[in-house]
Amino acid sequence: MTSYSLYRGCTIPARLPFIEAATKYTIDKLSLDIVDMGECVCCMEPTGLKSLNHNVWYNVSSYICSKANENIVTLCDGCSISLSESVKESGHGPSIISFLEILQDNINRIIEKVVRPVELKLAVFPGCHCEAIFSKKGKNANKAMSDIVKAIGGIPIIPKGANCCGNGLSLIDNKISKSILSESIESFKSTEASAVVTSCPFCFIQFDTVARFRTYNIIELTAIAMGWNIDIEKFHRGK
Amino acid sequence: MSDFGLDTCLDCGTCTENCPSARHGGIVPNLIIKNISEGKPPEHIWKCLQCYRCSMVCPVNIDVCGLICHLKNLAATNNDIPECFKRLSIQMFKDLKMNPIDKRAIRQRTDLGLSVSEISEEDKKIISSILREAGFDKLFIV
Repeated sequence: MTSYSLYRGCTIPARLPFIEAATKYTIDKLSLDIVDMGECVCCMEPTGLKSLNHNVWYNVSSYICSKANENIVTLCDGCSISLSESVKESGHGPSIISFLEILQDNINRIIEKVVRPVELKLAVFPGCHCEAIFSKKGKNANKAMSDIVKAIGGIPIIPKGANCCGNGLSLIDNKISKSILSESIESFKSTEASAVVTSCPFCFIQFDTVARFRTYNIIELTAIAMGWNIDIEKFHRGK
Repeated sequence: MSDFGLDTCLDCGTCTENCPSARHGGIVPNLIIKNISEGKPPEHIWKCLQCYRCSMVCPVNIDVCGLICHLKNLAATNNDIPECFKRLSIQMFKDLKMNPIDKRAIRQRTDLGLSVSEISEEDKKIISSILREAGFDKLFIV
């Protein structure tokens, strides 16, 4: 089995720690060889800080990569794309994958561990960066997430017309950001799904906390299906 | 700019058709490429979400998203930066994180059985040094 270093990023530990807790449960439940890198500095994420200074982004991301073992798995797709682009630019470094890929690689073991099927009709929305990561590898994020939703007992629906959560513009042009967000929420509603499932923490915050549309993270749902007990009302919502 | 292969652009508009910002009155990616090719200034670059949709769909594989990020970097060197990014860079310089662990996070992490730890002194020293060497502090904290 391949071993990985877990890079948690800064958004999930600070704003959505229940996703980190779900990840730890999933790692234990599936006996995955993943070691936490511990408290980390920001990846200089692609939407904001990378836009400001390429050299700072490259040096910080490269430093993070240098601290890992052979492979890094990320919880946030922004981190994943940021670190993988710095590795590509340097021409060497660890291979970077997102936790969704770990779930995809272990889908048969997940099926074996399901004790509480989610039994929900779910709009599947991996998020822009997740789709970009998969696309660069010749893979399809919508399919990967749909397969996992099916594996944990849910019914996946890929919504038409939703392609962004609008988070990247929330501080720059809130009108456009809200308009993009509304378009996606309307698209989810048109599927008659009970909720949307995503892998991106920024999409989660936009859909759940800003738009107040029921949203799940794919790791959270997988952990719950495998028996993780969590008080959703207490921990679920971001700030 | 030659690294981006802009001379291969077909001006087919596929990037703009798939751009969430363009669909709601923001940036127009193919117009950015056209303007640069004609020596005109690019418009509305900060209204790009860096979502990579444009790069994913370009039929001639131009990294449009990377191009716009590069244009933002150039604008930033002239201090043409939205206020929110200035705040973000100050935040990064202060805590080395975009989202620092606050009291709410500490409470939730404790209840969830997660560790509450600090960035190591070695990391703090190295990252702060990278930010200073690039003039990050001087550029944005004015």
